[in-house]
Amino acid sequence: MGTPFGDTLREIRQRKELSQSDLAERAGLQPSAISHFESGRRMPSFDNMKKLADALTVTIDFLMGRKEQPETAGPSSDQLFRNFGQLSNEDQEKLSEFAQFLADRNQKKK
Amino acid sequence: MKSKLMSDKLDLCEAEGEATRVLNRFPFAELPICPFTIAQRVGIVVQPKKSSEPGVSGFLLRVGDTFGIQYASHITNDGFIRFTVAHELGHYFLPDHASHLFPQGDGTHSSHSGFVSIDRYERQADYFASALLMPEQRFRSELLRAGEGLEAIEHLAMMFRTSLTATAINYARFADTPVAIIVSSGRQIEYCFMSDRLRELPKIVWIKKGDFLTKSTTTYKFNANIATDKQEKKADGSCTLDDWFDDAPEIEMSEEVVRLGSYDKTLTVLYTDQDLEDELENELEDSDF
Repeated sequence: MGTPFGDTLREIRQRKELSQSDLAERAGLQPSAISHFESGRRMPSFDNMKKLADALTVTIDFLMGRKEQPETAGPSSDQLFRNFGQLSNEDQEKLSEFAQFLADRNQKKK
Repeated sequence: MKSKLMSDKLDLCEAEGEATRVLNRFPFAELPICPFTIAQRVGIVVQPKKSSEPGVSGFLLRVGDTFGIQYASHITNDGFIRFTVAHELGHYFLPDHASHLFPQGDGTHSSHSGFVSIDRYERQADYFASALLMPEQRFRSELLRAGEGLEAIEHLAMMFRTSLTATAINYARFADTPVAIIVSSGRQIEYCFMSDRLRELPKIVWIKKGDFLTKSTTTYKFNANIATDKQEKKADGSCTLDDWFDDAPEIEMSEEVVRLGSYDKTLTVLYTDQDLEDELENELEDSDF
């Protein structure tokens, strides 16, 4: 059975007219890994997600089905702090500052 | 259905395999392995989190295509900090963690202090951190030269720049001799790791979290003393295996105890260089008379 991630990955790959082997070569992964991800048998690590996103020239958000358009990267604040309530006030503050720092970096990358 | 033990072993194998792949991709000619360098090589920003509160030891964050790790700096133990960063790297490199920890795709993942996590993904990230910082082949070859007991663990911890606790757990895992590592606090046991040679003993009853220390042990006396004597750091003595494990044979063990840095906890190393089979035979002969 497929997964939203696997379906998205297959759709982008096919839209770019790449075979599973082509994508595997571009991403530095085994062709069988692409097949596993697309079929939903395995979910990739963040490291592999980043490699796939780079190879397909889309963002990780887009690959994960979080954004409608590939060019609209960047998380919204409500999604950023999923576990926010579980942290102490001091940790929340530090985390918020760090997240803003990463968001600025992410913006500069584009 | 896979048993919990089997599933745990598979998680361990997967974590070790992934750590080995990472080390093949970013080789280190010499020890120690540096998790900060690995993070830098894959573009992860690592920063200390300046806070005074205990509990949350590290975070992995993703913002768009940018990743970051923050580690708690209130603990000044270098080995603990490196383990925390390596643990968060585990969440980054291990398959399935992305979809489990961030099912909606974005956000923050936080990890708590301690070496016995009940969460499967936290435990697997701990396995990854151990395998990354103390690669099996290197650890085994250094272990052969390190000797035994606490002195060996301290030597290995210095060599791999890992915490005493993480090193001691690995020491028990790879030792060919009977070894138990016990972490306790006050009068109670927090957790225990045994070497395979010790687990193989017939009828041995495993120590559980919350079990009480036996009064005759060096650890019991040490823990009672450190409540009043803050300077006391170490103690050693001897005990018999059945002081610790119900139904275990009465084998004499060396018992070495060390107080753990910023925690109100104690690490105990039980070991013997005696051949257990000989000891068991002797015990059997004694009981025949």
